[in-house]
Amino acid sequence: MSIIESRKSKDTLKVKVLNNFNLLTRNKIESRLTREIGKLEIDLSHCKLLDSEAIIFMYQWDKSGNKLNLINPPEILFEIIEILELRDIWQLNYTETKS
Amino acid sequence: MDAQFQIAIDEQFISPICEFTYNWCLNCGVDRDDATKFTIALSELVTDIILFAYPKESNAHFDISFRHTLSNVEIIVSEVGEPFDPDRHRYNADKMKEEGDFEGAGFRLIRRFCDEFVFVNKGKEGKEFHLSKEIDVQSIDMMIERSRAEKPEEPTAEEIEKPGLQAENFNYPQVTPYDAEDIAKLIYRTYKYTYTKEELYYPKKIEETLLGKEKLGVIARNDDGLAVGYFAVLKKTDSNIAEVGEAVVSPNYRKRGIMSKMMKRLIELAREQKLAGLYGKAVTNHPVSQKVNHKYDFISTALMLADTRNVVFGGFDSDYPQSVSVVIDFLPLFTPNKATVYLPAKYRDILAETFTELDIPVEVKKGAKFKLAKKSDIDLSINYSDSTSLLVVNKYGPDFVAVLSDMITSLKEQEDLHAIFLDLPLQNAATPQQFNKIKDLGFIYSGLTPLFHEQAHYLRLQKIYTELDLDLIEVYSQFGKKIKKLIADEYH
Repeated sequence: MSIIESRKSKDTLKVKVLNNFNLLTRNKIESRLTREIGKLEIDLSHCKLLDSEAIIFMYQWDKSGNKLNLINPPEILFEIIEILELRDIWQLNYTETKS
Repeated sequence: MDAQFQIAIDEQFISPICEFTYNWCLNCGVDRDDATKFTIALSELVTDIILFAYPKESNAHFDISFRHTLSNVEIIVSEVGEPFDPDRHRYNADKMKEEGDFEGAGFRLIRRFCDEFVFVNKGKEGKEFHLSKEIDVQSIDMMIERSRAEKPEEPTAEEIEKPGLQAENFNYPQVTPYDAEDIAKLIYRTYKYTYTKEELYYPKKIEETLLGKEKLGVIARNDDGLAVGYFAVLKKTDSNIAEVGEAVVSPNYRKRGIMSKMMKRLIELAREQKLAGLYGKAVTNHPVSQKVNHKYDFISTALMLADTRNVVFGGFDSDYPQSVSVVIDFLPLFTPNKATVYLPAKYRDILAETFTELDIPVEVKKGAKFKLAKKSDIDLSINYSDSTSLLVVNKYGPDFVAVLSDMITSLKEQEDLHAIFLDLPLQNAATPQQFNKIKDLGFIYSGLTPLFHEQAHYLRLQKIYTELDLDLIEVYSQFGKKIKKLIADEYH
């Protein structure tokens, strides 16, 4: 079973996480990030579980001059951000498309 | 134990194990939010092991065990990778902000998403991580209220009480899953919310244990079908014996001999089911349970100091100022085969006497030759709510003392334990010698635990970390008093 679906378009990589966002998912996404990619869009509509590997990856991507947009992040993501005391230093861009 | 997996050091197994964990949590009654968090905690731990525990091995494995009670889920992860102490890897938010260093982030999440996280260093035998979560019982009120709302008003026990009825006028059928709701109501009427086993307020959970055959019980009903008493034993998972665990008689029906009748019927049922023995952990802040056990020929075999938190029993004194110690009362239901036992010299007399009291035949051997196992094998269980821990020795390896010392040290560093109990196998010829080697670890006598693990006899020792006034410990039987005296001499 696939872990992610991804599509490149110019400088943007669009990723759909199909299940959990963990070390394996992180490594899969990283393997698809080529030099010209500067924007990353991650659709988390189907993601139930994500751990610190996911958070650290997204934080570091965002803080290294790249762009990050999340679609439908699960509630637990915000709780982890709070626990790791990232809320004040990380303005997360995200879009809610679920009603 | 619900399940056990051996997992290769490979990131592709993180998701499957998380999927299993999440669904297992839901099956055990954990709500979705808590199941998500508990699964993330495991994901963090597994990731850490995969990334750091075995830097030079690609074929290594680690073990994950899942077990649950009706009010708690626990996952134990064991590995024998590089030495590691999570306390030395604390997350530092300032360091992260200044240097982008996320070290310890995973362990912070583990600690936040579990109710208990205990790291047990087993020295050369590796490490164990215990992750545990309570199953939410906040909805008890709501469930009972809903149950009342859905049903027509019932007559109260007082309204239908028939004072003339004595024990023989009641019926004592074996409990079936259909009795679950009546049992929950009986517990509620008798104890309100003070009964220690919270799961007994949940008809669905009672039903599950009865369907799963973990429980064997009797319910007392009058001719109108009203449940007035309930008595059950819980089968031990690692031996063919059962604990007299749950007993209640509606207050208006007490002092009529109903409890005794139920006990008698329960013993008959246990014999029919070929259980080897029954045991009770009778509290010592009052002697009532011990008296009932004694009446039915149970023999006191051990005294476990500070075994349980102080619980308030309906109708009993609530001002007990210390952790409650318990007496183990044991009733063999059949005469077991004669076993050869190797008794440490220090306790040879009392142990031999206990076997005689129980009428359990043993051959006591001295000075037998033995061969140690390659590795020590010690099972650890932690009772988080009572702040106690039980270590059961399955095998002695050459490093037994070091492994045991490391386990005790790491347990004590993290948990505010009142007592650690240690079971040594008396049918293992190495026990007398190994017992002598651990004499500096501060364990004192607790007693004999007959047939307690894999149908074998064990010596139970105890290490107590809380102050106790032993004069407040009421032991009923003469033999129990003898055990208490021996323990008191060692405790002081």
